[in-house]
Amino acid sequence: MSYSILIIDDEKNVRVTLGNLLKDYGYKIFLAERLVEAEKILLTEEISLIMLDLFLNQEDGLKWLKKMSSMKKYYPTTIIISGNVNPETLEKAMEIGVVGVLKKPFSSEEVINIIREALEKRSSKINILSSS
Amino acid sequence: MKLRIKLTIIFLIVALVSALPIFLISNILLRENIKLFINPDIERLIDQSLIKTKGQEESVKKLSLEYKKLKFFQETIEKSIYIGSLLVLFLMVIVAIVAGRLISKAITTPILYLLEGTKKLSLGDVDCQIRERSKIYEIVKLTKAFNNMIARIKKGKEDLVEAQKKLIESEKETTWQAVAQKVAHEIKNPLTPIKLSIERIIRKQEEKDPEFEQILKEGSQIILEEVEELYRLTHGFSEFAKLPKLEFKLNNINKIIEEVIEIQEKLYPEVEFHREFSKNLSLMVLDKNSLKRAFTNLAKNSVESMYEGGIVFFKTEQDQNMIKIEVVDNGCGIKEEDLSLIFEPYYSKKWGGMGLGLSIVKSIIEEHQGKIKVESKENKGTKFIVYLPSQREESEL
Repeated sequence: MSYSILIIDDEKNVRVTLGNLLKDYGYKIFLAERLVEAEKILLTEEISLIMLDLFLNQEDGLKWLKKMSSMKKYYPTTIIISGNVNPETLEKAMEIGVVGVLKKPFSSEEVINIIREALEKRSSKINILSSS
Repeated sequence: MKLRIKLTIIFLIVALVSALPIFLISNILLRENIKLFINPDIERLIDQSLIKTKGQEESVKKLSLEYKKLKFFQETIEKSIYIGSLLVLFLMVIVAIVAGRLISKAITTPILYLLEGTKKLSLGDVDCQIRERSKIYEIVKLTKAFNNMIARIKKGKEDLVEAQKKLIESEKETTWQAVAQKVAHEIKNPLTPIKLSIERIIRKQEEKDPEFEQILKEGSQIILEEVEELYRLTHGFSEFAKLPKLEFKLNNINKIIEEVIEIQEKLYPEVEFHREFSKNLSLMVLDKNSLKRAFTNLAKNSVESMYEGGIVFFKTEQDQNMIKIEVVDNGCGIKEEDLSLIFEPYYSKKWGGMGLGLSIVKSIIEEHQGKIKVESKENKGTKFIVYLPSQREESEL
């Protein structure tokens, strides 16, 4: 089964290149420029992983994540993409359940590694949930 | 009523109240005393003695003569006493007025100095000191206390100016730190697609992907776009950083804006530029080049907020001790929640590219000790209001 990954970034070229990389590695990808678009995709598609830029054009990604996590009992694993994440933001993000941070500029290898790790964690979590 | 007049009147009243009864009593007493000597009984006795002695006794003749003299001068003596005491009374009044004036002057002059000092202080002159001339203990104390107060206010003002300077310095530093962080962040953004594109090209070439040529083309296009973005970023940053040292000279603000409009009219023929300049504006101490840049940025901001042409209106007028310059457009306007952020450097890439134009305007206006305000309604238009001080002291520059 191929995992579906939602990329939320306001930079077109980041979305495109990241999307191309993930497609090359066999993932199914969805792209969103804004959080409203992302919400629509989340409603209609089965998403395994979100890659989210915390500083979208004047939109607060962290607030959105909080809102999403409180709305759904179980929501997709999230990885943050950012130029610079300060420790406080990182702590808050981790509390909400963010599993990894990709610091710009990142390499293809870093992306693939972090995604694999996150999805492994996710499946073990699902296993625990389903066995219990 | 002035204290000086009041004190003089009081002295006068005191002098009159004490002198008048003395004047009246002494007059009556003296008259009564004269009456003791000018007595008809004495006259009769002298007359009888004269008859008895048949005018032969020398002493009686002399007495009669003296008495007649006395009687003759009675009225004159009475008048002299009256005039004399009137003179004394008049003298006392004069002394009272002079003393009243002198004493009141001694009290009121230092008070007037204090008043003058207070007026100067209220106008912000903290260098004024009051002359300590008075010999009255309380007034000397008051003057000293006032001078001490002024000295303290002066010290306080100097401390405040110093603190403000430090604050501005630290604000500048903080702004620069924020700008540097934002620049670093913005540069990392284009680096990511560049890196991923190059890695993909290499990967696909190694894999001998049949679509390699297409991938190479797409990847190169992204790299070129992002390199262009990097150039725009660094160019904008250097523009922001290189606000040259301003050269303040006497300039006509209307002329500066007119020059800006003439260039903008050529650049954007689809936009109508209107102007309403006040003719009564005096020459101001301004840096022409930086202000041309500021108003060019404002004009550009207006033009870029329009979809297909529109109107930009420039207006200048005197507003108390400031010159008010309005730049009004009928463009798309600014969202209310964004209004407080538009002067921040790197606020948004949607603003004329870099989000630096308006922050440059703000720093130029502030270098002129001026202010800039913005009013805007979405889909209606935006109004920028610039205030520049119409009079600045040379020492400030």
